[in-house]
Amino acid sequence: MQLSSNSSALRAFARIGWRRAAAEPLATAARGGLNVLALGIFWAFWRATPLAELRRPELTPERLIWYLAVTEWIVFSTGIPYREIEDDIRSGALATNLTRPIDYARACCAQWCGGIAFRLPIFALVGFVAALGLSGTVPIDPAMLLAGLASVLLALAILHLCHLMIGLATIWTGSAAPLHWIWQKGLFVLGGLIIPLSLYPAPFRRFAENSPFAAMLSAPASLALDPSPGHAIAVLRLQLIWLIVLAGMAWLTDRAAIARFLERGT
Amino acid sequence: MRYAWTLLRMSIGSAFARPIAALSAMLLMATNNFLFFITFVIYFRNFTSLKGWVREDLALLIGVCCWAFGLAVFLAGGFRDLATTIGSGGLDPYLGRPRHPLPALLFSQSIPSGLGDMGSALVFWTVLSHRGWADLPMLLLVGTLGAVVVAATATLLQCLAFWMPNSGLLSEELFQMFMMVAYYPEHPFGFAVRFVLLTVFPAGFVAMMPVEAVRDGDPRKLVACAMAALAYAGLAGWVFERGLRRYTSGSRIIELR
Repeated sequence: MQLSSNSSALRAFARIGWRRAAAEPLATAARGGLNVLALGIFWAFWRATPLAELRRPELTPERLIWYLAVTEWIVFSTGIPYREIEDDIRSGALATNLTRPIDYARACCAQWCGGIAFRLPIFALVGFVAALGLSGTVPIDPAMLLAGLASVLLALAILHLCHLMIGLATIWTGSAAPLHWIWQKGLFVLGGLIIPLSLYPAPFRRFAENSPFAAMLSAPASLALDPSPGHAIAVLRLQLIWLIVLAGMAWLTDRAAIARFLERGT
Repeated sequence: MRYAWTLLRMSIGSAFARPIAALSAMLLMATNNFLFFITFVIYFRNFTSLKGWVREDLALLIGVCCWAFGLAVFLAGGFRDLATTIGSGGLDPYLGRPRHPLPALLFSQSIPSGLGDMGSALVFWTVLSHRGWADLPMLLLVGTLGAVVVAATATLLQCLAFWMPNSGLLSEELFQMFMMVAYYPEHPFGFAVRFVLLTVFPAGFVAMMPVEAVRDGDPRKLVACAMAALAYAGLAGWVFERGLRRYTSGSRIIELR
C-alpha cells in the first residue's frame, strides 16, 4: 500500500516536472537555438582545424560534429536543475517540503524525470536536424541506436545525481554556484564535452576516461566514433559502475544534508 | 558620477559582507577559467593552429572575455536580475526616487566572482598569451569596452520582461548563448555569421573585435569597439525607456516607507 502510494506520488511529481518544462516554450526554444548555435560554432571550428595533422582518418569533421551532437543533447536536456534545490534551501521552502510524506530527494528526482521526458525528444530532434543539416551525413550505425539510447539515459541519471548533490551542498556552503562552476568545468574537460578524450595526452586520458565525467558525456558520445559492440559494452559497464557509486554518495549526502538542515536550518 | 559611486560603494560593501564566501567565489571563478583553458591546451597539443590562431591568441581572447564579463558583473551585476525585478513589479521603489532607475538597478548588485574573472584575465594576458606589460593599458581598454557591450546586451535581453513578463529564464538562456559565442574564436566563421555577431547579436564586440584590434594594432578596430560600446549602451537605455512606458505597478510602493 505504502509502495503504491509512493509510486503514484512520484508519478505526480514527474507530471509536475513535465508541465513545468512544457510551460516554458520560449526558454526551450532559446535553449534549442543555443544547441544549434553551439553545433554551428563547432562545425566551423572542426572544419577550420587541420585534422589531417592527426593522421587518424576516423576523425572527420562529420564524425566529430555527431560526437558533439550527443554531448550537447545530454547537456541541453539536463539544464541546471540543482538551482531548484538551492532555491528551496535558501528560501526556506525546504522546510515545507520536508513535511510531505514523500522523501524530498526522490520527489526532486521524479520531477526532473518529468522535465527530461519532455525535453529529451525535443533536443534529440533539434540536434539530429542540426547535425544532419551541417554534416549532410548520419555516421551512426542503426544497430547501435538502442545501446546509444541506453547509454544516454544512464548518463542523464548520473548527471542528475550530481546535480542533486550539488544542490544539497547549499546547506553547507550557502550557495552552490561556485561548486557547480568547478563541476561543470570538470564535465567540460574530463567529460570531453568538445574534444574527444582520445585526443588527450596518455596519462590524462586514462584518468579522464575512468572518471564519472566521462560516464556522463564522452562515453555515450564515443559511440558515434566507435560503434563496435565491444566498445558499447565497455561504455555501459563504466556507466553502471558510476551510477551505483554516485547513487550511494547521493543517498549519504541527502541524509547528511537533511540532518543538518533539521538541526541548524539554513 | 557621485551617485553612481555611492551606489557602487554600497553594492560592493554588501558583496563583501561575507568576505570568506566572496573570496572563495573569486578563487573558484579563476580556477573555473583556467580549467576551461585546458581544453585549448589539449587542442593545440594536437594541432599547430586554428586558421592562423595559436594557443597564445586563444589565451588573449579568453582573457578579454573574462575581463569584460568580470567587470560587468562586478560593477553592474544587477543586470542579471532585471527581468525578475520588472516581472514582479519590483521597479516601484526605484521609480519613486528622483534619479533615473536604470543606474540604480544595474549597480544594485555586485557579484564578487567578477573579481576572480578580472584577476584571471591578467594571468591570461601576461602569462599565457605572453603579452608584455606595455600591452596592458590597451588590453584593459578593449576589455572594458567589451564589458560595456556585455552589460548593455544583458540589459537589452532582460528588458524583454517589459513585453513578456515571465521571460526571466528566456533572457538568461539568451545571455548564456551570447557569452558562449563570445568565448570561442569566431574568425573561422563566414561573412554572414560574423556580420550577425557584429550587429544583432554583438558577441563579436566582446572579444573578437577587441582581440583583433590588439593583434593587428589597428586603431580603426579600436574605434569600432568604442563606437559599438556607445551604441549598445545607448540602445539599452532607449529600450529600457520604451519598456518603462509599458510597466504597470506591482503595488510594491509600500516598500518605500
